[in-house]
Order: sequence, then structure tokens, then C-alpha cells
Amino acid sequence: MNCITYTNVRKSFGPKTVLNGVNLKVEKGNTHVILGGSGSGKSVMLKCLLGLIEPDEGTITVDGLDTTHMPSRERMEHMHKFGMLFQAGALFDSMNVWQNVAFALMNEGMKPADARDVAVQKLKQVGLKADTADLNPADLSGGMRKRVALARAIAHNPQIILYDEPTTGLDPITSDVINDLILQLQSELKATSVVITHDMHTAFKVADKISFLYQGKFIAEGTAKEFKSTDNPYVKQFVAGSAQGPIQGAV
Amino acid sequence: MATANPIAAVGAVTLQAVGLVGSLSTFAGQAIRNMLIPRTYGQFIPQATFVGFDSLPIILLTAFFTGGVLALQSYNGFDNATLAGSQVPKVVALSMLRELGPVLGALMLASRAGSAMAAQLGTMRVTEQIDALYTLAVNPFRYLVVPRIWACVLMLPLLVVLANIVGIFGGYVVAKHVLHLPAHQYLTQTWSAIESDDITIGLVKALVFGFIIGLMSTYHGFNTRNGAEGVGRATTSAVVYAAVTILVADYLITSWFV
Repeated sequence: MNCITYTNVRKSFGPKTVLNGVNLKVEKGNTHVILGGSGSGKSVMLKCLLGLIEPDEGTITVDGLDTTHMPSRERMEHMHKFGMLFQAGALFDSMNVWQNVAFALMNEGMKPADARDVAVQKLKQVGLKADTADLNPADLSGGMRKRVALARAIAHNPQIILYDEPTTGLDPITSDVINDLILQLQSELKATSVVITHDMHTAFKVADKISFLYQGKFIAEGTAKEFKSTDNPYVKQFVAGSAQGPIQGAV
Repeated sequence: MATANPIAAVGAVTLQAVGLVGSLSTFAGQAIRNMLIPRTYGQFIPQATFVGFDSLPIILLTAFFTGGVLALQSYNGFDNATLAGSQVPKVVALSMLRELGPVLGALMLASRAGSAMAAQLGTMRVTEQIDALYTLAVNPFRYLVVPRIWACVLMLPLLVVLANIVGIFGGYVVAKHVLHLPAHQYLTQTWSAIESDDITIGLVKALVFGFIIGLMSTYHGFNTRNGAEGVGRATTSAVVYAAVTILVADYLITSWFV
């Protein structure tokens, strides 16, 4: 069963077309990786899904519900379904770690003492000790920030978790720890996950299915195994990380 | 391209100005609509403390010396000491209540609190913290913008009342100790000069100026783009637009009452 469906979604910023008729189906309970180079429109896709950007054309449905032009109040109710890990964490720097993690819970009326307990439990779930709860975001390393951001994203038990470049800016070992966390959370929460990345290691490790976005359109879709053995020259070049091939670098 | 053709340049500037007025009006409408919906704002108390209590020292200091300068300057403007003795208290009191209390208070608040609010919201925007609020099912407009505007609207009149008192006291100190005017006469003249309209016009101005400061700082902060440079630009714009709008609004309100 499809959880998220993009149908012919288009989005332009001025003369620049970013999404040029995107079609995608994400199955419920799957981890779907959206692969693509920098500036290929991956983040815009996620922002359209969340309603942060409105598409020019096309429809996006979540659990069969058309969310493309959803009114603000309805959208806020709908947001409870989602948990989002931002690329740089986007932790609230005016709050400490546990307040960040428990933010959504306290906003829904949970008492601070109870919310703190849940936050500590979520921090443990992402591999952080209870004593990190009172630290400030500025005191955290890059990997810890990602973990705290992940704990915040899952604190309200979302049905859909979105990961925006989860391993960007991390060393290879910390990146793999985050990949393991994505897998662990997937098996524990049974949520639908969408991971956007250009990190092949992450894509191959966490994906049930991979879609390759190029120039605002998906040009390939398959499992990690299929991507490794593909004949598609665009995908082959991207997987190999080669400057030579049909994809021209924008440097 | 636009600078090469003067007509195109004028057109571009006009479009930009019309666009700004349009988006600012939409933002203001959204702000007023949300401000009128009754609900509890957890963010209001910290914002009111920041805007009100934390701004007290700078605003009272400014008011004290403004009152003192007014007394000095107006004293020198009168031909004889007797006339000065009776008129200086009136000049100080009316100038403070009707003009300098609200205007200087508002300009100081825009510089101190408005700039900080714009920088804070701008930083939250460029580091995706505002998007994060949204993904946590919290309306960022209601959570960030509305409490800040309410804090400015409600705190500035209180600050202005205190600034007026301290400004008049500043005039009194200078009149008594520098100009050697009779203290009792100064206080009596001040009291007899003040009418309820003087207080009303000052408070109406403070309410309007508070809204302008809150609106300009949140608008520019909330719509920040382009990283650290954008935050700097938003901060500057918040203060400049607030200051100019305050001065224009001051004239309009004064002309309405006079």
C-alpha cells in the first residue's frame, strides 16, 4: 500500500525549474531513498511534502489524502504524522537538549516532568546517555546534534520519518552509526521513512527502494542491488562518483 | 541590466517597493488576525520581560537626560528669568508627554529590542529552526511572531509612562540645581500644565509605535534569506523601517489630535 504519492509535481523558482513532473510512490513501512546530486531538487521535494513550499502543479497524497493545497489549520493537525531530521539538526538553541526533544510533547500539554522522562528515554533510544539531557545544543558535536535531532523527530511517535541528508558533514564512522540508527528506528517504530541523500553508502545500507532524481525528474528506481548492477549511465556515473559521464558537474 | 536603462531601474525599484508594501500588509493582517484570537502564549512572559523590563535602564537614562536638556535649552530661549521660571516646567512636561517620551522611547526600543528580535528570528529562519517548529506541528507565526508583537504593544506604553516621569524629573533636577529655579514653583507649574489629552496622545502613540516595532522586527526577521549576510540585512532593515515608520506615524497621529 502506498503511503506517499507524488503525481506530476512541478515547481519552479523564477526561470529555474526545480521539479519537472515528479512521480513517486513510497510504500507504507518502507525506507525509500531519494538519491540525487546537489541542487537536483531533493530538498524541495521534501518541503513540498511538508507544505513548506506549494507545488506549481501536480498532487501529493499522504495515506490517500490530498495534501497539496491543504489549509493551514488542517495542515497543522496533519503534521503530527511526520518527524523530520534536518540536515544541520535545526535544534532550538534557546532550549537545552531535553527541552528540544520534548518540545512537541509539551506543546501538546504534557507536563514538563513527564516530558523530560520521555525525552531521556528517546535520547537513550538514539544512543545518548541521560546526562546529555541538560546540555545546550552549542555544547554538542556534529554526531550528537544529529542524534538529538533524531530523538526530537521521533519523540511524538510519527508514522512517517523524513531524513534530509542525515550523514552530511559527519565522519565515515559517525555516518555509519547514524545509518544503523535509521535501520534500528525503522525496525522499532515500523514507520515509513524517506531519506534524501547523495551518500551512496547510506543509500545502499538503509534503502528498501532507491529513486534517482536528475534535473527535476526521476530517471531510475530500484533496490540497492539493482542500483549496484544497473546499466543506466547516469546512475552508474553517480554510484561510481565519477566526473566523466553524462552528468555534467555544476562546479 | 536594470541599472543600464534608467526606466527599467525606476520600474524595478517601484516593483520592489510595491512588493514590500504588499507583503508587509499581508503580514500585518495575518498578525492582527492572530493577535485577536484569544489563547495563552507561553512565549509572552519572556518576550515581555525582554522588551519591557530589560529595556528600562536605557530608556530611563535617555528620558532623564532628555528632560534635563529640554530644561536647559528652553531656559535659554526665554528673555527673562521670571518668564522662564513659569514656562520651563510646561515646555519640559508637554514635550515629554506628547512627543519625546513616546518617540525617543520607541526609537530606543527599536534599536535595542527590535534589532535583537529581528536577528533572533532571522537566525532561526536561516538555520531551519522555523521550519523545524512547523514540522513539530507548531504554527511558527503564532509561536514566534504574535507574542513578540503583543510584548511590544503592551510594554512600550508602560515604558513611556515611566520615561515621562523620569524625563520630567530630569528637567526638575536641572531646573533646581543648575538653573536655580524654585523647586516648588516648578512642580506646581508642571502639574497645572498637564491635561488628560497630553497623556492620551502619548499613550496612543506608544501603542501604535509598539505595534510598528513588533511588526517591523518580526517581518524582517521572519522573512530572512541568504545566511549570515541576510540576518545582518534583516536586522538593519528592521531598525531603519521601524524608525522611519515611527516618525511618519508620529506626524499623522499628532495632526489627528491637534
